[in-house]
Amino acid sequence: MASPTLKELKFRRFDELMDEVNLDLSSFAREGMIEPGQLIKVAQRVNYELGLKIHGTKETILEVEHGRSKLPADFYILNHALLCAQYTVVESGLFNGIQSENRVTPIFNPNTVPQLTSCPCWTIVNPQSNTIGFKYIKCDGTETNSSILAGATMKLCATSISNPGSYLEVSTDSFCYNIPATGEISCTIPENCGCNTPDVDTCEAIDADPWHQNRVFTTCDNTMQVNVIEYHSNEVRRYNQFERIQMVPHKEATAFCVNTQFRDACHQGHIQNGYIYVPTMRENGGNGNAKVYICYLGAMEDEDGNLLVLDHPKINEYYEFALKARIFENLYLNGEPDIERRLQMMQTQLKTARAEALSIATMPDFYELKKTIEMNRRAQYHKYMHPFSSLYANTPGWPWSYNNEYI
Amino acid sequence: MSKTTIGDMTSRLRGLVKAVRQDSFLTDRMLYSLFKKHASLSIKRLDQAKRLTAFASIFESLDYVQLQVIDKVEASACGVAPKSYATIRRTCLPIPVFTEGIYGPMIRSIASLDGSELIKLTTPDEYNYISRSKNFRYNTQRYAWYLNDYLYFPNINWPAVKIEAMVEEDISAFKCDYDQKCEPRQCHSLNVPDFILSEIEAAILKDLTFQLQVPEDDAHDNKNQLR
Repeated sequence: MASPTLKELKFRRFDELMDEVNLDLSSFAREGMIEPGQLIKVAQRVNYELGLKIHGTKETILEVEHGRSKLPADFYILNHALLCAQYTVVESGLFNGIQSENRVTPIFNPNTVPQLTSCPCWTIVNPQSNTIGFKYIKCDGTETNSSILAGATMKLCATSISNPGSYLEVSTDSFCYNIPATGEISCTIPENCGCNTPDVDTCEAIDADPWHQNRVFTTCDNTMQVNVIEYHSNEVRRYNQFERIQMVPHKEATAFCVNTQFRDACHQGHIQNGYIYVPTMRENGGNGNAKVYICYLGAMEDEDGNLLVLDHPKINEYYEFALKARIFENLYLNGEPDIERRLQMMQTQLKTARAEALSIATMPDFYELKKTIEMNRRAQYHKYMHPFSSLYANTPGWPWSYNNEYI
Repeated sequence: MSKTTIGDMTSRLRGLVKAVRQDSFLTDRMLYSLFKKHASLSIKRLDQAKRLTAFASIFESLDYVQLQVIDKVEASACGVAPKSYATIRRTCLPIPVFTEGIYGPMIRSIASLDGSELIKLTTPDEYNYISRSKNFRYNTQRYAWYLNDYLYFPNINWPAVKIEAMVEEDISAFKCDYDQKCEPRQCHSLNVPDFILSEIEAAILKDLTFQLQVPEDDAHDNKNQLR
């Protein structure tokens, strides 16, 4: 789930920011001493300093012809790209004609991905010559009786297993998987993880957070579990089979782009001069024509190509003081008298506003903090507690957890 | 409050030098030319101090200045790189003589006819720098420049613009005000801030004192028998 603050970001056009500055410095604006052309780069620098978080995530489908396609005008950085292999028409229209692509909605189907749980998977060996009964607590908290035959080995998912006489050899070194189709948990990753589950309409929309989006691409039966819905004027297409493209690392497809890690993919692409190239599509007799779904961070532009800046009560101050400081700098450098003190005042204010704005922009969201803590705990568990699993395996309540979260 | 007219100014100067209208040497035209000479210096000083545009009363509005498309060759001759515009428009007629400030003609604003969009006055060279910058596509500001008695407008599709400026000549033709068409020049507004009038008048008086040899008033002589 994306952090709420990312979804609540508001933007405004650079012109609106300039209006605010002109209003504040009305005497200079009246004299024509404020030149917007000099200040666009300042707004862009502030956008850059505030980081990638403020860039919106966008998706589209590109028509690749002869192995290349022009990237959207507002393209900034690639999150991931998929070669669309096959689609099914979900809704057919009543009329034919020129088709126009309106919207692309990737849908993540959670029912098709086996999820690793925090419930331990136990290996129980009975070295005795008779069948032994034992109790264990399931990961949902219910206590259950079970038995194991003489000389047999079994695996089961439980939070703890009682082994009063130490007749059984009990150990754990892995976690169980959740089978989405049935809701049960299992020690082994299911071969068929329920990919044929037809009910996809109840799926949640893809996570807007680019970091989380990259994690969506869990493989199952060698298929990407992402559905891309493409709306045409006369039909709705659902792409459900994709091929991976390995992207050559580039400033517009950085190491954070998941495609740079697809080293075994049969297609390789790169980004250059505003185009995405997939030369491997033309190999082996291919004509190089296909559709590529891309998810990218958009440039700070609106539909009309106007520069956008963040609209936040605190961060607006940073934009305004940065612009005002640059105005006075330019006036001072161009020989205007009586500007030094105003410039000094603006620079002081800018410093304060910058610190406040960056503290807001770089503040981790609640979900980021939660994820970090969970990851940290898991890492510490594996580092310090897991080596002693065999010692504490028979201790009631082991592994110590609360609501399936290690404490 | 009515504006000070050129007639008011000449009349006051005549009063100061005790001249009468019949003086063949001291014409209204000469007084006005002296006034313009001294006023231009004061106006440039005020312009440098950025204090002039606040006085709305000294600016005249040309409500409908018609524009025409000019070809790119002509525009290139004006010093503009052809790649930085789609069309260039120019005022159909040479614009009236504007008072010169420290940075060029004293134009307070150039706007669309309804005044909703302002145009920034620049120079051809400056426009070149702006249009060649990488971020020019984000620049939604409209520009104009003054060259050889015309105003040039790149990337504007309006038929006409509205200009607010300090003018030095009759602009009734631009205002479509036919009542003022036959109005004598003396009845036109002076378009100079009131607070510098006394300073200008003192300077004119100093000039005239030498030229006309205006006798100063004698001090009262209590001992003169002819009193």
